[in-house]
Amino acid sequence: MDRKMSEHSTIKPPTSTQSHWLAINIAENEAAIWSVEDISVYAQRVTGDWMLARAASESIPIEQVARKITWLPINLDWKRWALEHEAPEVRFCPAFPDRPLVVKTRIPVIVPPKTTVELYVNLPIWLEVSVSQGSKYYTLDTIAPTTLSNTWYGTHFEGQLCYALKSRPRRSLEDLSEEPLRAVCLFKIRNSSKVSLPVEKIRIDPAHLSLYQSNRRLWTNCVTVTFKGDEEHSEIDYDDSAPRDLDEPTLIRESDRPSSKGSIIDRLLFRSENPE
Amino acid sequence: MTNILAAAIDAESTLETIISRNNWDIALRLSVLLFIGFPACFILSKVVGRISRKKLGAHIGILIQKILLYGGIVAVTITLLLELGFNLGALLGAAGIMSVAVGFASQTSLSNIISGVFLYGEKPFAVDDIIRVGDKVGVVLSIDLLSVKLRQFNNEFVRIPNETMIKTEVTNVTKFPIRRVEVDVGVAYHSDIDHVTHVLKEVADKNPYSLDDPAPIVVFKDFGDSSLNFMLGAWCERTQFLDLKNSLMRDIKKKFDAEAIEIPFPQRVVHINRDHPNVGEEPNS
Repeated sequence: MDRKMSEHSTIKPPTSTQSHWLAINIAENEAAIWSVEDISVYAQRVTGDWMLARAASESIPIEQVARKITWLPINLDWKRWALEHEAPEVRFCPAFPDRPLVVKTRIPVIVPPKTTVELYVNLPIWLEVSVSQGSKYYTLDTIAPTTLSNTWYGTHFEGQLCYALKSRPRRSLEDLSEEPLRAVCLFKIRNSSKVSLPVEKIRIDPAHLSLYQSNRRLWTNCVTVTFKGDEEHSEIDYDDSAPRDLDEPTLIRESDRPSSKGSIIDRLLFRSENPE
Repeated sequence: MTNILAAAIDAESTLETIISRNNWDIALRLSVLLFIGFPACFILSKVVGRISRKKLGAHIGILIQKILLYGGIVAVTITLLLELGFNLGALLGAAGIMSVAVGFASQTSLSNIISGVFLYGEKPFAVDDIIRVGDKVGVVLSIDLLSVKLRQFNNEFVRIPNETMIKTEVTNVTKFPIRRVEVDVGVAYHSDIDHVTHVLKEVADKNPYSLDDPAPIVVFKDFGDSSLNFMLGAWCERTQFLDLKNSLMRDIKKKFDAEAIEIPFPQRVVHINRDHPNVGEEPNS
């Protein structure tokens, strides 16, 4: 497929704070590619409809996240959306995975009584592709750049299906690699009980997380878990603002379910159950 | 029999009275019962059933719906018979005598009804669960007073009497949210056991349906006739059982081929004793 691009197609230049997340204006029968790390997304408008396909990453310069293209690879697995209204603008936004995430420590971290520790976790970011429909945006697709492993958070009788993260929580931010499709989550564990707390795994529900950009890094709001003892439920607080000490944070995605302080009570399973 | 005959005669005379005297009032009441009473039973039972299914679950919802439906039909029928002038006392007297005879004839049905009550109480499974009863596996469509109805995966309908359900071992496949897929595989005797264990673990770890926690396990089961037998157990969310099983089998074969791990055919080692006096002779010579 080889088409000539018209003068109407425009790409909004990436700003210094939102380099990977931008909107593209694509004219009728034109196409563009958005590419970061291992993921490339092809978008084209055909007779008013939008078509999307993903493929292994294109080798485009790192400073150019999106560009117009005059040819499309064959054998792409396209999806097509028929829209009622004209929608020339397609937007690429970061999104969270659709299930809670479980992060495991390499070895159990023991939190002594009356102590608060901070852990930094790199959370995976998915790509949300949407088009303008009047004053709102309509989400065409949410694309996972990599397939995440499934894991079970709970007992053999009850629990929740989650994604398992292969990256480990870190005690220091410097130990976390800086990647465009990762967001840093500051996780505080407050042990207010009288017993030591061995932490093996942490569950984070992305529905309560917002996304902020500071410099070239994505951040979430801070999560604080207060452990009150084996017999009592733990309390989870999702902050409603960006972590302190961030350099000019910009809110780029609000949480789906904002929560007030201490509103979420959960039974935390810090210890792994032995499989049969 | 005399009672029934008397009741029938009463009804016949009442009908004649209604028709002959142009008694439109009774005719209207009968029409209301016939054309509004019965449909109302169906509609009411459906509406209440739907609400109770949402609030109390499919199991109880179906029971409430059926009680309302059959109770309503009986109530409307009795009222209708009374309006027609049937002497219900005589009818019930006859029914009492008949019930003894019917009771003897319906022992199996009674047994099923009582078993159904136990099933409702015990709740070993619910509507939409997948259960195995003997050699039948299927999705539970309904749990009724007399029987449990299943839809097998080849879309065959199976009716299992409640008495059988109480007497037989029933396996509820989808009772718990996660399940373990177990794949038995044999490798040649010259295979490196540690390498095979590592490869099987790797196959499960890389499978997107396999749960990271509970972790997959590899068990060196036994020394078979022709192979060293292993079992790979990988956990999955219950709805992904077939996806995991199919993909695991395919991945194991591919990975074994890539790693040159042999899956042996059944084999026999035959030793020929050349010193035996009969070696070399024809069998019938």
